[in-house]
Amino acid sequence: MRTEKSRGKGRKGQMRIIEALLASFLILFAIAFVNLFALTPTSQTYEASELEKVGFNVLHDLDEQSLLERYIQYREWANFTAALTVSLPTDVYFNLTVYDLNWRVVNTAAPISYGTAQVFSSSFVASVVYIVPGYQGVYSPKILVLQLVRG
Amino acid sequence: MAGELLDYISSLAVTGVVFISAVLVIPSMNYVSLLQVDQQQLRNVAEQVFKTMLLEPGYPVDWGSTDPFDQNSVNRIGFADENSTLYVLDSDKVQRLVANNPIGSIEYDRVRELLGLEGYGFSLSIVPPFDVAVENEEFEVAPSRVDLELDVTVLNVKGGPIPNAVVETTIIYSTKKGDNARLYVIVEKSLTDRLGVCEVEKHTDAPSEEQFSDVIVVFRVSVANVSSLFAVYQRVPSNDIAEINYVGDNIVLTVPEVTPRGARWVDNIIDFDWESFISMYNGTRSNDDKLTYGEGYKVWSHTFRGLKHGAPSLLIMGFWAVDAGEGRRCILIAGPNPNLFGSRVLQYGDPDGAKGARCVMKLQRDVVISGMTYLAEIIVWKELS
Repeated sequence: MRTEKSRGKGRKGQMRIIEALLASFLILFAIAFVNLFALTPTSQTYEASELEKVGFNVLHDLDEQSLLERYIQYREWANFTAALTVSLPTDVYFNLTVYDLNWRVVNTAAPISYGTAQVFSSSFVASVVYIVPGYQGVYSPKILVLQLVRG
Repeated sequence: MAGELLDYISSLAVTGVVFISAVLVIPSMNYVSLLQVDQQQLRNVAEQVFKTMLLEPGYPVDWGSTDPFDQNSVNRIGFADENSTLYVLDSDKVQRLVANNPIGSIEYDRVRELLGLEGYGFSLSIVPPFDVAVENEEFEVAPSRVDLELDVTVLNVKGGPIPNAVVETTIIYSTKKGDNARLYVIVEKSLTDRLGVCEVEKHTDAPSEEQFSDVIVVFRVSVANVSSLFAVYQRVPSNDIAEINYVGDNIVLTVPEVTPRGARWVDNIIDFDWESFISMYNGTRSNDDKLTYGEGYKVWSHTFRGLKHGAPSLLIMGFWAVDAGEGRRCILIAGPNPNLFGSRVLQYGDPDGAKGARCVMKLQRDVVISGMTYLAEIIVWKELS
């Protein structure tokens, strides 16, 4: 009789353990599951916005020194590439395309870039559009599209 | 009875293990998210601080040009030139970040207070976009002849060579004829090779009846016309003769605590810039141009109208002074420091604070000071409480 009773109590005790385990796993699972749907700021997205600011800053700086218009007017693409190379952080790859108002590429002969084409297939490419109105007061607008990727 | 006790003990142990695992696992599951949130917060703080520093002139708008300088009179901080466009900084404000500046600097804690950065630390530098190293092959200055052979290497900030950089070398000689001192200037241009190196070689005989006193060499380097840098090569360190500074329209010279402590006289001042090379002042070797440790002669100050507007990058000065071991002669030096090394602010703030921080944010912008491009870099971190 005593043996039967203690067996029953022992099973109850085991069930409590199993219940406690199940409850704990349920809580852990719930937290893990909810965490999947949590919206957190992804640093890459913000990195792109930071790169856009860097890109605008560099183009603006070159424009302030009247160098952008000169590079474009005299097609100094090698100088343009060198200027971007020293002005941008060393771990940033860039690709700049110069368009006229009809979106025809002006620098077809010489790409202004640093880094392979594969680098720019990443989903986190920052892009800056900058307009240069002309050279020494002559209206001849060009559109610059600068793509930037952190290496 | 014993079996029941065993059940309770084992259930307690299992619950304890589950609890401890949960305590360890849950935070680590959220760690990445929390880190990203921390990083984003820090990025926002860093961007805001950098924006304030580089785009705001502060208040009073000419706070950097006040003489004498009182850091408590600055109500709002910002280093932008109030009359210029984006990212153009005022050289007077920037030089207040140079530590041990004899004309007054602003302390790190005061800047943090003005920026509302309690709980955060930062470190700021304003340096050229490339480095110039000068290797001395030969630098002999004899009374009758000067022989110079220097190797100039232009490197990017990561140490890679920059080919086709234009190196303009300006060699300034001082000579004496009796008690009179004269200056001669030679300018040469060359390009760096594939390894970023160019050689500067010059052998010059003294003009008749004159003797060479000193030589100073200044390099102006540009890449695609965009960036430029001054790197000075001189025989006597600037701070052995006088500490050169200018604020507003005033040039201020102070006597450093070095030996020999003999009196020195200001002979010449030259405004050296990217575009120009202007003689500003010729001294008379009277008490008006004397600098020494005696009372009343420790500081030399002179107002030059339009100096602030011209914003020279470098001042070159001829002094009639004692050179240790060689006696009194005309000595050429450049300043202010650290402009003569091509930088504006080598490091400001807490240099080691970022090492122990969990999150660090680094931002970089191009800025223009006195018509030259520099890289401004800020590192911000949250201090451990």
